[in-house]
Amino acid sequence: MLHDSHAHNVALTGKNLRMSPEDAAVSLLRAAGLAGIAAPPIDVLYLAEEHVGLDVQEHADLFAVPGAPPRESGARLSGLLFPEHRRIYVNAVEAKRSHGRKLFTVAHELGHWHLHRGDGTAVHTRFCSEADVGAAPARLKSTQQIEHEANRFAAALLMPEPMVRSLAPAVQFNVRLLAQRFDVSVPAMQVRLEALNMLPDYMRR
Amino acid sequence: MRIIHLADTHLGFRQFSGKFDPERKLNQRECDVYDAWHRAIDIAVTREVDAVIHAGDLFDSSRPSPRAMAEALDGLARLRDAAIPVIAIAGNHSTPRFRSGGSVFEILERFGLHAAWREPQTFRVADVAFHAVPHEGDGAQMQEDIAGLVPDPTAAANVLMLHAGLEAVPTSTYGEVNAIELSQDVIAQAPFDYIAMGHLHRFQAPQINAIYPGSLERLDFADVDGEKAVLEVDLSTPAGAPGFLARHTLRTRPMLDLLVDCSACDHEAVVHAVVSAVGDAAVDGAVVRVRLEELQREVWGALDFGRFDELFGSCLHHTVQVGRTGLRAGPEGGVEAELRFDAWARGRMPSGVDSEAVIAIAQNYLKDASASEVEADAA
Repeated sequence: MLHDSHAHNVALTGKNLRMSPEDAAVSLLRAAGLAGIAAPPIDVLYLAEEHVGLDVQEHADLFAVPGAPPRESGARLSGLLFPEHRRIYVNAVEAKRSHGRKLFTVAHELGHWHLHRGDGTAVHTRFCSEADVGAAPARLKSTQQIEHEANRFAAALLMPEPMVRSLAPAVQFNVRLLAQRFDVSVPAMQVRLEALNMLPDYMRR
Repeated sequence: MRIIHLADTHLGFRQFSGKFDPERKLNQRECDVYDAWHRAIDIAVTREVDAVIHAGDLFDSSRPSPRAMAEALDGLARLRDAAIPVIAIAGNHSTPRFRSGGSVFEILERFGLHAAWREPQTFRVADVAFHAVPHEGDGAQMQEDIAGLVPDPTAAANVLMLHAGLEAVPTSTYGEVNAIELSQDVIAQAPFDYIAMGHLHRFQAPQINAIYPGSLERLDFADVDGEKAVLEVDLSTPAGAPGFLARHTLRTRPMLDLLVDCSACDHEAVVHAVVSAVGDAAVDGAVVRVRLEELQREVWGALDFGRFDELFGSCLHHTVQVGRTGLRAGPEGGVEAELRFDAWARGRMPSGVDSEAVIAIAQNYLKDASASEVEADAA
């Protein structure tokens, strides 16, 4: 079964070159049979490990991982993707602080896997700094294009639009409650609701 | 129906002993709070709203001073003269621990105020039902109180009034007494058109139909960001739709909270850094806190605080203090704290361990903890 999933995802990657990050996320959910589920959270670890066949590891110091970039003073890494080893590393310190953050980083790296590993310049290892992986709304909106796309993919994967549109009115658009239900951070939920134009001005940040 | 939703006016609040309003001969911060209250009343009268509701902590104390009572009654009298009904609930600051002495709301009720201070009550004003839940020291009891309320099917709108925090919402209150937090589910599932909340001092909308209007004046440094405003709600408009909510901005006493990076600064450079941090900000009459970060112990000892007194001479109040990072040992007093940790750790590392990697991880944890503290402080 794992083999079939891998073959499917290779084909999917080819198609994804022309897809928006949101469409690529929906394709992945459909391929994994998760597009029709009614209730969150989306099990991104299942998607990454069981469906796509990536190994997800945590490490407290990502600069110490073999193949990581040289340590820079003040710099922090949130996630690493090693396509050739089919492996994602997540910053264990951040993961301990916020489970939602950890899942967003996994989804972000999954976004790179689907969107960027075949684009010529990015077949290589991806190093995602703390600022690249969406945490605060300002960061989610302003990072480099390729990182921005990975963030959009992650948001659409963890918080699928139909699911958000269905659940948000039922809880009066309560952002913290929705974040709990979707198992994401509050800033990630806030940005998703704003991106979907679902919040009135007085709830926007 | 259009209403003004107020909360956390804290009439009777005082701060900075010895700082008086020159004309009224009263504590200046106490006057600030009264002035904000009267401006809010002005707005309610000018806007010709159909009701004013107050979601708790009308007073700063459960036993308000005669002055605070007089200011409250002056405002309520103006609303009564304008035929604007007022509904209020007791908040944690205005609920006495021992009720044998009665409540200030008993007096206000005789003045025509609709008040819920002992138990939940529903008040009908025109075609709107206001379900008023006073502060309750036990969160589970308050949840029961809310669950026991049934929206009036004949009302054009049903409004729930609450005074409580919410789980996972950073508080921006001060000196809290007997405060409680409710689960987010409680308000998300509450079947009311509008939930008028009080307790948090910053404007916040935890959900589309539940709003904290915030206090009318800044009462502490946790409440520096954002504008203060009087909240007007149009209950004939669906929550979230254009026109549902309007904020009428209030001018408040300026409050500045400055974090100044003093790394590599001598005592003169610290003064320059503070001047630079103030920049063009208006400090006349302001309340200012300066926190000196990464400051060396020797530099702190050499600071001329008279310079700061000159710089902030026109402020109502200022304080200059050591920031979160604490005092650093200077080059003559030893090595910098982070380096000391390196040396300490290297000497204790078991063989076969990558000491630099372990130190890097430990420093990440320390930075992380520091970042969390800063975030918590900002919140």
